[in-house]
Amino acid sequence: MTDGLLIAQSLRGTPEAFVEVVRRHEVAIHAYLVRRAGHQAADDLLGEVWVRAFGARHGYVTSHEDARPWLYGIARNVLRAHWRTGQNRDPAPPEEALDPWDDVTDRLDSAVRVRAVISALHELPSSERDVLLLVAWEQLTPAEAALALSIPPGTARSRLHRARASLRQLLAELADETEVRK
Amino acid sequence: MNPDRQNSGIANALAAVGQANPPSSEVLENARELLWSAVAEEMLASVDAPMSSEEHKADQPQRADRKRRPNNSQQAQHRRNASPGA
Repeated sequence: MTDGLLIAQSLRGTPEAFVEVVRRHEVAIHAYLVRRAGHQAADDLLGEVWVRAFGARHGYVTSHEDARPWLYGIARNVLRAHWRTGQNRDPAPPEEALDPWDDVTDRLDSAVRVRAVISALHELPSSERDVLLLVAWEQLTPAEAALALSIPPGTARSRLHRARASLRQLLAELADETEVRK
Repeated sequence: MNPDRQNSGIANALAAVGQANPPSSEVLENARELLWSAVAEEMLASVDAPMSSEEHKADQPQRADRKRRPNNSQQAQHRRNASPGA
């Protein structure tokens, strides 16, 4: 049975059908939270994602068989709220400041290429980074990433294109530097 | 570097950056527990809703009755109108 059908069922007097949708995607959504906010935050926020999703399921388009893009979108909103709470001493922090990317970089190994990619990711606007990471880490298609982020598919594709071009440029520069050193 | 190699370099580096250990079953269960609370709340609400609508229905004749039955002041007025001296 598809996620869409289960959600439809959960709306027609069998709310517990929604738990099966959660069972299918809980590891993937937890991994997404870990990658974006660290283990502790992921553990704390996972339940909130499910409760919000359950409450918002009336808005789910049940013809969509796979609920993953929708769940990533909800997880993303929960993360944003989480980051906002952490920064609430600043009344209007810019979007970039809300995304504690440094937390992620702290968890990484020191391979030069990896570091370079992280640094490039850090430089990307968060709107481009969101699309790139949903595609690269969560294995969503650009159209699914668009669904998760509530943006038109064309916008997702162009953001992805720009993000990849930036990373490509950085890796090319890195390769040139390595050549010079040799 | 050709674009294909660059793309695969990006993909490999991103994959290395994006490693995440699977969560413990306890973490998953705790999160599901929160969901179950919300599910249970909705189930209870759906059980309560027909009950209160039954109560509402049961209450209807009484209300209709009350409408039909004149209140005290209406009765007094009626008595005054009916009395020969009015």
